[in-house]
Amino acid sequence: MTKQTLQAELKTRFKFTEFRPGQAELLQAILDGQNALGVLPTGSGKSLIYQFLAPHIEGLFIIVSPLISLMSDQLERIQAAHLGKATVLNSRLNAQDRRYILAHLADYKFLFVAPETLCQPQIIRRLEEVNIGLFVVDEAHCISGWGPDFRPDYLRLGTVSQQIKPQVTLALTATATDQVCTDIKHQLFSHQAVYIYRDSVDRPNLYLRTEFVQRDDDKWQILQQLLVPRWPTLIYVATRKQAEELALKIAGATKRPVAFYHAGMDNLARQQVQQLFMRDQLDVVVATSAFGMGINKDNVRLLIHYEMPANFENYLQEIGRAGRDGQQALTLIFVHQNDFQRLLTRQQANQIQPQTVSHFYHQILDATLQDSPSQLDVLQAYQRADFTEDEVIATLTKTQRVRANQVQQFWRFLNSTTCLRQQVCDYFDHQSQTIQHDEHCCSTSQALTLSELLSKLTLPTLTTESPTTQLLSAGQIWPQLFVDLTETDES
Amino acid sequence: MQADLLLPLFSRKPRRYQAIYYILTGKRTVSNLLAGLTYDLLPYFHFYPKLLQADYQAALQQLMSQQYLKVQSETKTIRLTALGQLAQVQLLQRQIWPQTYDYWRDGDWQLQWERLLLSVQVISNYQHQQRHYAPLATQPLVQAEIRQWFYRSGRRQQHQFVKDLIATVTGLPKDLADLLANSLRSNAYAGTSDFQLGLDLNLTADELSLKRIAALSQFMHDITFLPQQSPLRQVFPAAPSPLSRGAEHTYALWQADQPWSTIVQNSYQKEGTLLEHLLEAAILVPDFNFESLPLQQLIAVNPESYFAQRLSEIQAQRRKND
Ligand SMILES: [Zn+2]
Repeated sequence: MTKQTLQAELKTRFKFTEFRPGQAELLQAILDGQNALGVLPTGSGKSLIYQFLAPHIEGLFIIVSPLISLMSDQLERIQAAHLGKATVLNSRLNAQDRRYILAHLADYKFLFVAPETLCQPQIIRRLEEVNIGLFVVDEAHCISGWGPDFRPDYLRLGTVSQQIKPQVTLALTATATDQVCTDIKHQLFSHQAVYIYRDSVDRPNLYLRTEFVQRDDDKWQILQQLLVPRWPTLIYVATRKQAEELALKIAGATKRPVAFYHAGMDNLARQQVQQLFMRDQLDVVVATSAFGMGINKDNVRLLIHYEMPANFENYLQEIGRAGRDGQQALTLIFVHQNDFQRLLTRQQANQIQPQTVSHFYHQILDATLQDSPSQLDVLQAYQRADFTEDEVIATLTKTQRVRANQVQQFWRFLNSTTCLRQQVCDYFDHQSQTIQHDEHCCSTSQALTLSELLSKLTLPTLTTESPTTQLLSAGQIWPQLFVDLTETDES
Repeated sequence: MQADLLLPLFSRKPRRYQAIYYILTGKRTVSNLLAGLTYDLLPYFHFYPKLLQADYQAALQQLMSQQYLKVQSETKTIRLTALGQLAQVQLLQRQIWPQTYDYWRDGDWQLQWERLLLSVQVISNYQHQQRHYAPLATQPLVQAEIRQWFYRSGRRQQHQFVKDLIATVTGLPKDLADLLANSLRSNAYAGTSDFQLGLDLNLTADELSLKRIAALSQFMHDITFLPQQSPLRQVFPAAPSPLSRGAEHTYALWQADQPWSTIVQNSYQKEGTLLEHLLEAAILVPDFNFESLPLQQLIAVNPESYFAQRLSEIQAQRRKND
């Protein structure tokens, strides 16, 4: 298929006039029957690729996703777009629904599945009986021990792929260094020929800013200043509690409609916050890193890291949620010595000790494992992936070293005085370009005050009427939900 | 979890806190059900299915440090202090605790809640010619049910649905009506976030969820006065048998006057398990006949047995509750 034909189809089916970088190239490769790896920035429409392919490739599309919240977001979008029947298989499903889905696999076009679920023998057996059109591995960097999000369950996807024999395999990720790309090729495609599309991570419309603070309260003072203009604003914090508390503080101090968002909320409540934010009915969302993947709001003008993320990869993914419409957006990260210390402490507390691994493998009661279900999850994942005790200890030691190294590197970046954008590109891009630093590029608070910056940047504000934060009564809601109420009364 | 919201589950008399945890998370054993019966907490079975043991323990710890609860380690029981009882009364006065909730009558509130949200969304979107949207229900079962319900209902039924919905919600106390209506949404009406709702109603997130169940349960109760064929009523399937599948089977044979020895002979299960099925029925079946001759005979086999002892406990407790 030529790019023109693809573009025509994009217009009729999806109402877009242009592909985002990489989409057309990956589609062409896959339609030619090639396996492919796409390294595309967050918000570049990764999911459009498999949505587009649905009528072109027969058989079931399996999409592996590491996070349950991510799966339900993607599922909702497919359902909303009516592209074919779609469903999810993960550990949250009850036995009844699971049986139903497995018995009716042929009725579905899209199956979102968690890696640990996909690797279960009875699921594989069932999938071997079905024609698999496309096998999509999302967040493929999780396969690499050099990435920050290594997941042992991902290691088995290569084997699974050989068993279920998809016509084509597509690996997708937003962030991958050279090392991570090599790991993906090796683990998932066993060094077979793979078409690779790698876009530069650079997003010229994002202004990068480091904001140094001495005291925790300084953040709040600066934040209040930033919340005056009506920019759609996303604030990242480190914990659920922080998200709730900061949202409450903002609601008390400003008139801006605000909400928090984290993985502890149930699906429908999360979906509601996303949709209100999308419709500009919410101005400000305070979120943990759970917010983002799969969310398509394109006019986030201000993105704040209230606390520092653990590495470049997360930082890049998160700032990538600003300015997707291509208009300028400001991304600002607070830099505070305490944040760095807190992050190190958190990481250390989450480290799995060799002794715990040993206890796990020899089935000796271990207090740490009883108190920390997440550590138990990790070890079980290693066990499922057939790791021996020594291999687990070696791998954990390596990933811990990688992680510690990543924090240090990111901290150096935050404290640096050279062009921030150049450093981001140097870190990720295969062949890094030279950035032309200008006044729309980046700054640190040491070089330029915030008020100076704000007067220089002219970020568009919301022009729609400010949504009311006052509740409607039931009587005011009915006419909005339902039409011809009078006719109802008469009938 | 907000600790003080657990206060209504305790009383001045000592209660086994682990049994209460299992009731809340819906672990169905005779011992848990019997505890539920004794504490008058059976309606709250499966009330917090996602509650983690660690969170529950932490909440109890907090209530103990506030001097609201007192633990008795030897018996693994907890009771309210005088201070705790005062806090309990104050909480109940705030009208957020779902007093009318009954799992055995209303069914799983999480499913019922999704049924309500999704049916309203489907009708509202249909009326506004909106075809593309993500369903407001996470359970495939609920999605399939409401889809079928929608395809069955014509224009008249849809009008009737809206009419019955408005009438039922309007009949609720105003705070519950507003809470319920403000939780609904569709493409035509975006609704409001739980966070905003909590701010406006002066409720924390946990209090909001609780009051929402209170509103739902009142609503579920009120729709039972609608005609059977009301499209709104049909959204909510009647609660299924309260018994587990095994107990249901055993109890059906028992009801059909099969001799106990035959039931035992024909079953793959141990007699002890089958006796537990009968106990489950004795706790949960509304008109369980404690006086029947076969039952008396079964007791007479060994009046000191676990079965006989439990049965008389259950009977005494049910008499007391009635
Ligand atoms: Zn720069």
